[in-house]
Amino acid sequence: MIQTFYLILKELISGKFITFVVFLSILLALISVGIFNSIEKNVLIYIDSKFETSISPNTIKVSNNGKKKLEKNALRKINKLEQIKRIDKIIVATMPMQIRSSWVNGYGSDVPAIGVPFEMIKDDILRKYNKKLWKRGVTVSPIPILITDVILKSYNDVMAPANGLPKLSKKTITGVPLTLNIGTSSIQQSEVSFSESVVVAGITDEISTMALILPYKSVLRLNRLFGDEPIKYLNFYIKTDTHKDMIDVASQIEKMGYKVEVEKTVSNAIMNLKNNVSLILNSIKYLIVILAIAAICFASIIASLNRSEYYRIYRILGASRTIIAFSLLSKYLIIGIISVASSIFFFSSFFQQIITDIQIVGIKISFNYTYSISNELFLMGLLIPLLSTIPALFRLYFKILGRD
Amino acid sequence: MSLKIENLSKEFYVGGIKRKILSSVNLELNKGDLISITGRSGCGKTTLLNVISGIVSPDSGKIFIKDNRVKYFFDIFTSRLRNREIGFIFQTFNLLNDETVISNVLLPARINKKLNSQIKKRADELLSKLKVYKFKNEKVSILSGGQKQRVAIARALINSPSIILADEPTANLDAKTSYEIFDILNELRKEGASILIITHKKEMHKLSNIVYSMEDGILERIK
Repeated sequence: MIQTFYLILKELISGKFITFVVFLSILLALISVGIFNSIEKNVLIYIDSKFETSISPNTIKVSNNGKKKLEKNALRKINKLEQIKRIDKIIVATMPMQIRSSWVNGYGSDVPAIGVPFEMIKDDILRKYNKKLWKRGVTVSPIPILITDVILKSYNDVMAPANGLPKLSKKTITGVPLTLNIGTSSIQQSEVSFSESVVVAGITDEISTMALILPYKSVLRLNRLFGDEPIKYLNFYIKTDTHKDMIDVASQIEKMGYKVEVEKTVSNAIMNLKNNVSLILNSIKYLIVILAIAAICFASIIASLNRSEYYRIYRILGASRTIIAFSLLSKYLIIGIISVASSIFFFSSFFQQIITDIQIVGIKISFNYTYSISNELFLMGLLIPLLSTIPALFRLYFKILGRD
Repeated sequence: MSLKIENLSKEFYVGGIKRKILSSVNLELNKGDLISITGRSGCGKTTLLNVISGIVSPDSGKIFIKDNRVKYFFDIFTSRLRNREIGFIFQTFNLLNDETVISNVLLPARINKKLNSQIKKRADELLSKLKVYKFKNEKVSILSGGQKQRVAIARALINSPSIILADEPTANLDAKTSYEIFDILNELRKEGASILIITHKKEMHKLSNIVYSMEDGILERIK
């Protein structure tokens, strides 16, 4: 073992100039890899801070798709997707309903209703008290309700002018008491029917529907009271942390067979921007690595040709071709390891100080030395000499030391 | 028996034409034998040495070294055999010129992974015997031709091989130095070494107990 190491050491100190050139090539390639990694990370962080976090990913709306119905099983499957941050479940009120207002000349209308969880619309409820009621939501009175943008617009544009009623705004409608006739509509009368006081807690644009929005727990209670299936899902509204997650989740749910509605244009644009930045910087990085491999390839061929007489003598004296090839490969791997150590030293000491004042196209570059950088440097530091010595090894093994 | 060759044949393509280099060669080299082979250039003498040492594999025939048949399937086996059982002496010395004399002499032992104090002592003894001890730590490049050949002989003997193959060891040396090398080889023979030498020098033929002439790959005994 010691003697094999001695032969490798001899190999290492032979042709000092070429050894130095190889060391320098690998070191420069590794430093370039580290620098481009750092630039890539900083640009991606910049994109994240300027676009990804300021333009949050859109909500995914999942609906029934023909035979594929939203039920507990669907919820369980969707819940298993790890990228999901939150699922808001919308349930349908299964009984007929009518809303009446003494405030607008006793105006009344049949209306469908849905139950929505507090988390989804909490920002649209204007008063703290109503927020509390919405959260409790089982037997509260008056029941807080939300009116959607769509209903308000429809009322203001069509209903109010046609019936000579006053137009309503978010401010004027909020806090208005109404009466909700439950179990009764102009076309159907359930066996059980009663009236509940409701109060308009705000306007929401979170859900685009003509239905009244009631607290989730209230709808659940009413459904049970009317002896219907208590949970009948209308939609799932799914939130994710990142644009990438949103695109992934939407595609996976689509594959499950449910109807998915989501606006992906912005997310796709952000993803494309990030991918393109990574692609360009990685291309430059790998181009440098390829050039280093090519340079070392020539250097190692020249070095092996220069030493062909030595290898021939070693072989005559009884060194096998494998041992000679191994010593040549070891030489370049050792140079690679020394280059890795030097590059790690460079990044962990000098680079941090150098980089503090550098700005590239307005992006302030920062550098955090991490294990992932060490891993990549180590991988490249071994890969470059390994790949670049293959031609020299072939030449040595089959030509210089060829048997016949 | 140190070396036995049976019906050894080898062909090479030279300029696209198949040429028989060795044709049914038979040879026996016993302990204490000094066999000379003579012949014109390109007749196959060096190829014979290369086949014996396993650098080149034969097309047919068998070679036995110390009654063990040489197997050419794996380079690692023939290399080990060459390192342990064969000592080489060349016309061009084949020394590492930028290394010291002792480093050159010890190289076969390093390759054999058996470099210990005994081997180092043996190297010193061989250098003393061959009268080049004073150059032990000098670089080979400063030595004369005769001194280089003495170093090469020391290197050939370091692993105590059973056969010494010498390929025109005096071709590059003057007459006086050639005689000195002949004397050394003759001494080694007397000590029990088995030597196969390729040489055109008639003085060496006189010292040999068997002399072969080689022509077109055919070996013919002339003494």
